[in-house]
Amino acid sequence: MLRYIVRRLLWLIPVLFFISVITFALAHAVPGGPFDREKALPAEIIANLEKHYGLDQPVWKQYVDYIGGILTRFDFGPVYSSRSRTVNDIFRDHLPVSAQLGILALLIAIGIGVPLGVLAALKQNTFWDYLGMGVAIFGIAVPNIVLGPLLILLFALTLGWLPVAGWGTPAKMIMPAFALGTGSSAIIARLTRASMLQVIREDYIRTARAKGLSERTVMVRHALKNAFIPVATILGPLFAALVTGTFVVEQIFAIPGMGKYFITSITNRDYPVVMGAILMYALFLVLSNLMVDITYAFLDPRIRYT
Amino acid sequence: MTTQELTAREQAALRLSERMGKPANLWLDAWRRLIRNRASVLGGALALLLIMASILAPQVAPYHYAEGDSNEAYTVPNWLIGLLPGNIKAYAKTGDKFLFGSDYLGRDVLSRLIYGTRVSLPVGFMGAFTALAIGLVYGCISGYYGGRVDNIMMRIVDIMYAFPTMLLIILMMAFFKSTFADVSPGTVAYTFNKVNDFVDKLLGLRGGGMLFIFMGIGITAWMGMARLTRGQILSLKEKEFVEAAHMIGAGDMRIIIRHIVPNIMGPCIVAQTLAIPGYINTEVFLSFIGLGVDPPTPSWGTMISEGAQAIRSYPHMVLFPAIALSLTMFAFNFLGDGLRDALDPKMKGTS
Repeated sequence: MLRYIVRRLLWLIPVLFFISVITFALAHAVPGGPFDREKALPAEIIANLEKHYGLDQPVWKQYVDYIGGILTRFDFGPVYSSRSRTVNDIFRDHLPVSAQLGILALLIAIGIGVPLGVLAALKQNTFWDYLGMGVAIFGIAVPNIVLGPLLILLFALTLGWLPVAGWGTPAKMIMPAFALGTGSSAIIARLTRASMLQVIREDYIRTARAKGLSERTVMVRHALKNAFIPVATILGPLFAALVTGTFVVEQIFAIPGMGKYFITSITNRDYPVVMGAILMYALFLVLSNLMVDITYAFLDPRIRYT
Repeated sequence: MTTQELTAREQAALRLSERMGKPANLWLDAWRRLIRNRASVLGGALALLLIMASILAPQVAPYHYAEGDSNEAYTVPNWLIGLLPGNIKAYAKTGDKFLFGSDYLGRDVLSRLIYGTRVSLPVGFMGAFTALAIGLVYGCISGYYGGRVDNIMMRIVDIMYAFPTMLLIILMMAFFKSTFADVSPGTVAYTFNKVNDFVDKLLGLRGGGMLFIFMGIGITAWMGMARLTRGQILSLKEKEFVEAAHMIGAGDMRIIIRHIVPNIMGPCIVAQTLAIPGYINTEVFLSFIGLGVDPPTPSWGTMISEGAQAIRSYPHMVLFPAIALSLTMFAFNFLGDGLRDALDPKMKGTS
């Protein structure tokens, strides 16, 4: 087990290296400097600015400096569009908001998806099953980019129950978290149902029943635990979907999170911010994939970690 | 029950006798199974309608997608105003000229939606086609030759797989946008621009930048396909009919193309049909964050983004593109599910 984790952690090094190189290369291959303005700056000023930010160095040196700064000082560099802030400041201000949104959405996704999937499987071909599968189809066909505006229209503008946009109070968090979580809950519900249906037909469930365990114990301790295994495998892609979802949902609900800032900096061609954000997200996604794989190995003792 | 069973058996016998002397046709059987599935017929009809709308866009669309009179901006259609929150009536212009209203430049929302299918559908189909083409070739080589070739090729796929796909597309689009924006003749970028112009002209959307979206999606979409193909080939190449083909002296190319590929086409097409909504969604997402098609080309993502900004005062702008996108998603998901059940009955009910 330990060997497996170490091996997976070592595998991260080439992946992160490639991501950083590609990110850096693409960001620097873009023509036009970050100091191109509507009104052209004098050449001397641009030269001075470039010297200040180390842009007069050869590209490989810039890369080494950039990565060195991240590794040694956890410094993601300056923000070109604002002199007083650094990329670290942006992370500090905006990342927690996105994290809150993501965690809430994940809780909603699992909180709706798993019970719905289990219910649908246990009461197959009843109202619960149809409800579960209806929600699943709805969640897959209505992406968050559509769900967000529709929720605003219904609950904020027509019914007036919730505030239209913003962040900070629980009331403002409800709609964005649902807009982000519902799609994932649909996928979880479908998968939980399918794997639950498979598991409850297994012999060991019959054995558990035969030795007189209560139905509850059989379902929770024996069936659900095994039905979770396929569900755990999709948590990785799910994290990725949540991250891209935050870009959209934060934009629609005017939430001051990292995703909204990320989009603004793409439009402004503020490449250190874009690069920092992509590296940060990539690290998060790669780590969460690793965590999912390890959980998977824990859940299913049949998997060999070689 | 007995009568039902009998009729079912009779039907089967009838089908069999109709087919007497004719070889079993995989595609015909699949088609029969497909049209028996109500949800997928509905999805297919909807998809067909969308395709027709995109082909006949200049004939169907009442107005031009990029031309509008700013005096007519933010017109809410009369039939909708009653359904919207009450206070909008106080300030909004209403009219019957535009069935779905007009946007912030006075452009007809319906026409933009119709022309928007010329962005969404080609992206979906091209994404599926590129993924199929690259993935099939890559997976065939890797799976068929095995050994060291397989090892190296699959490690490359592993690394690509570990990449967060969406972030890679975002980066590439940002790169394409600025690199190919304005270039002098004779360079590689210039050639790309010419090809892009040609693609845009083919789709009837001037200056849309569609090629770059195709490229962005194509580059990131093939890995799953390559893995699927390889897996299929690994199990197929040990089968007796491949051995028999070897025996009578067929070459590798002939075995792959004539014997193996026809056997794996089903699952591959199914996988890509199910992936089409994903590609459409990717384009919508890219346009939403401002990295997709260039204005004034109407993408549903751009329309939703513009509409979301005006959602408090003029909700109709976001409502229609949102509904159109959802219907498209429904259509292709149902169609994909139906195709899976039809082409690969063994897979029915899984996932």
